[in-house]
Amino acid sequence: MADQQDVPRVQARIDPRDRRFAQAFFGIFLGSCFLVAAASVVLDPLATFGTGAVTPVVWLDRDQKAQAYARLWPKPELLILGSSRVMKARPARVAQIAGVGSAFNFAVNSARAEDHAAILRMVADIGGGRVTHLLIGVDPECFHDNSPPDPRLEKSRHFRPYVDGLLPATKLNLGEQLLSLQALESVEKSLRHVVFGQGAPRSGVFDDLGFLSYPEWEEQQRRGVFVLAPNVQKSLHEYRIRYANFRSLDPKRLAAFREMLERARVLGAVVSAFIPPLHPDMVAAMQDTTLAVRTAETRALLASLERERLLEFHDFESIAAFGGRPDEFFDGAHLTEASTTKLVTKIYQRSHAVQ
Amino acid sequence: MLFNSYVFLFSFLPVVLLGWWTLPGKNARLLFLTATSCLFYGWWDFRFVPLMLISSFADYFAGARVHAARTQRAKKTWLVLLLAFNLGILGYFKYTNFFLDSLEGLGRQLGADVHLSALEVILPIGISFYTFNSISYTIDVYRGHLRPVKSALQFSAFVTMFPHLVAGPIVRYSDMNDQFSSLPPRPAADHWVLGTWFLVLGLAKKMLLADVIANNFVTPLFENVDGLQFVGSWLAALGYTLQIYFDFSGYSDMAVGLAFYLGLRFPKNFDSPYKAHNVSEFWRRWHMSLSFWLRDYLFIPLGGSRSSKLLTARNLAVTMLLGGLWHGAAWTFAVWGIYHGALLALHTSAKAMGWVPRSAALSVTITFLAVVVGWVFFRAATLSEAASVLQAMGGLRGLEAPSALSALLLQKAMLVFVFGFVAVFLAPNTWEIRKRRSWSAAAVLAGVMFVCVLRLGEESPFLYFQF
Repeated sequence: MADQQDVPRVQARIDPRDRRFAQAFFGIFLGSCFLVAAASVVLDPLATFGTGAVTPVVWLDRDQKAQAYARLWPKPELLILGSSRVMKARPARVAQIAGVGSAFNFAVNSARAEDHAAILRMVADIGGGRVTHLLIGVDPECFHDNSPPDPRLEKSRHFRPYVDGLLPATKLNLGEQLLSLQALESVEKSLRHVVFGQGAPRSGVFDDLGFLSYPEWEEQQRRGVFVLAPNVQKSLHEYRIRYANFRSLDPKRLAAFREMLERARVLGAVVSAFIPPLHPDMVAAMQDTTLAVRTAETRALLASLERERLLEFHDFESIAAFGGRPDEFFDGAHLTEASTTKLVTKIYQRSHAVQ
Repeated sequence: MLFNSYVFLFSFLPVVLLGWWTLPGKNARLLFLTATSCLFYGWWDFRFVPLMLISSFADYFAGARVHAARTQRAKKTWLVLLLAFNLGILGYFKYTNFFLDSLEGLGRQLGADVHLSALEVILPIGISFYTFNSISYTIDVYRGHLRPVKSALQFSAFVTMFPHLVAGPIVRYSDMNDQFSSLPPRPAADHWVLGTWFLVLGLAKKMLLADVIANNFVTPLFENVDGLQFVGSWLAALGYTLQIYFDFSGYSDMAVGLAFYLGLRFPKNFDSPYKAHNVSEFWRRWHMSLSFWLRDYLFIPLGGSRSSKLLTARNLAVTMLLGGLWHGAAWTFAVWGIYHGALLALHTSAKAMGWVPRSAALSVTITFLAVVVGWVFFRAATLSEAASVLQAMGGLRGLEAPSALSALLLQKAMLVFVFGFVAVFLAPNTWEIRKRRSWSAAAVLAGVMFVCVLRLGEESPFLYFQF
């Protein structure tokens, strides 16, 4: 068993270089950790600790939209749900197409099934009597099995009464909030904005009906200088990360989604669902990821919910199916208003034809 | 609890080190180590902590009984009882459902309508490791290689100590006896130096190499096995070859580093296995603690290579089959084990007949490719999945279209993939790297550690946790 004894011998005498090494290593490592953690708390770029000395880089979109919805009177008949990928559905136009009096865009960034369920709980509580239509863009990531609930939902004051049973028991993820790549990137973004005035902390603005504008991109489009390709590449990078650990549709999120649909049925609302399309170049570049498989599973799920009469599923295999074009995107995932309007028009044409 | 987690690095480890180096007396320190190691283990599922302690006590008790027995027959009886107990536990938790599924499958093949309900058995993590740790102790006592340890506390600290508890290395009591008998009273600076080198390099291998390769190549490609073609299948197989090495050797390095922080020394577990010139050498470099355990406690007692070629081949096959099944209760692991047993037998015969390549580069390449093929079985969920991948690797499913090829090959993570290859074939391993004590070396290691810490939020258990 001599080969089992192959271990390095440690010295009996203390070498001053060893002490300096240990001091240097722990000093630099712990010092770096402390700096990032302190900046995360003091600057609070993700509005996690409530200490924020600067404008958060993250949109507190859920609270913003909840406040906007609460202020509306009378409450809208049609609600648009989904992620940022349906935020360019202009409520007034959608209401006109659907043949109702008013609409509100309640889509939230990185929406997951628990967001939809919480939103509808709130709507049922404070304005449910008026809702007759739900238009919902269902991203496959809505059912991600390895992505935690959005912290903006967990921390939202307005949604706190409506998240019971939707969120996992609070795990102490202080480490991630203080010392993670996301924390470092947010601190850097925040500092650049504060010190150099670079990069607006947010790239979009909501109006009172929840409609999103991208001031910078839309200005570039008006001037004819908007370049789509680099934005598509950026989206590709982001979506590859999203789908890297997306292994199956999460059963808890499926249950939350079903709860939302059952509540919609109780409210008497007709639910029209679709899968927001991605840019064709994105889809082609992500063939080696789980995007196609998860999308197919989501498609099958929505078709089966349609058979249960919980929703109407409008399946667009490609953007051409609703008259969309590859240049009608802001990036790899976000349609322009024109393209979104075409998609919504197609949905309600089909819907009215069936009726 | 994972080594690569915030709670371990910033809460558990500092508290353990503080207690270990400040508590007075050996017994207090060993009790503290045992208790905190139980907490480490119980963080996953506290219900299985008693099982681990019972297994540990059974070996301690059996070791004492074996040593005290007056006749050889009595010694053997105690040994057999201990083996039956330990292997019984392992068999129940690990192989019950495999056995029932296999029986059911066999019954169906024979035309019988067999339904055997699977039991709801949770596999306790680390059971394969701590069981083998303990068994080696009792066998060594039986063979007279070791006197039984008097202190139950010392023995339980050996079995449960957290650096090696859930994924090895499989440390023998003989390696630790002297160390536990004379624990260093205070930390030596070079413990910190060596420990830091091993800990940081191990963490970097896991998080910056293994996980990147897994997330960008291995996992997405193996999730779409039916769609794999030539290049994709080779990327998947080669990617897994790199992933399992960096993941497992990274864990072992971290275990060695943590042991140094406790003033203890663990043996080497990996020695640049992909640089091996033949499969026999591969097994002297890969998961050394397991291969030496199998050699000393299974292969040699079966007869080793002392008898005829046929019997040697049989002994190799049995040893490697059981070695494969040790990794998991599935036919893919059994096939992997048999495959390596066949390779070992083939190498023995070829060597005897002088049929070995003269070129070192050719030997290393052939060995490496043979090992890569074996890893396909190890990674695949089923034998048919493994067959699909191998078919694609053989070119039987065609070559990808140019657009798919560029999507596979032209991604940033390919740099990590290529770096991984350079590292395994050309770079020194963690044990061989000169562990400089300079200020600049400390700064670089601190930087690497900091980058790893920033990625801790992307939780990823070590591969060998499942064994």
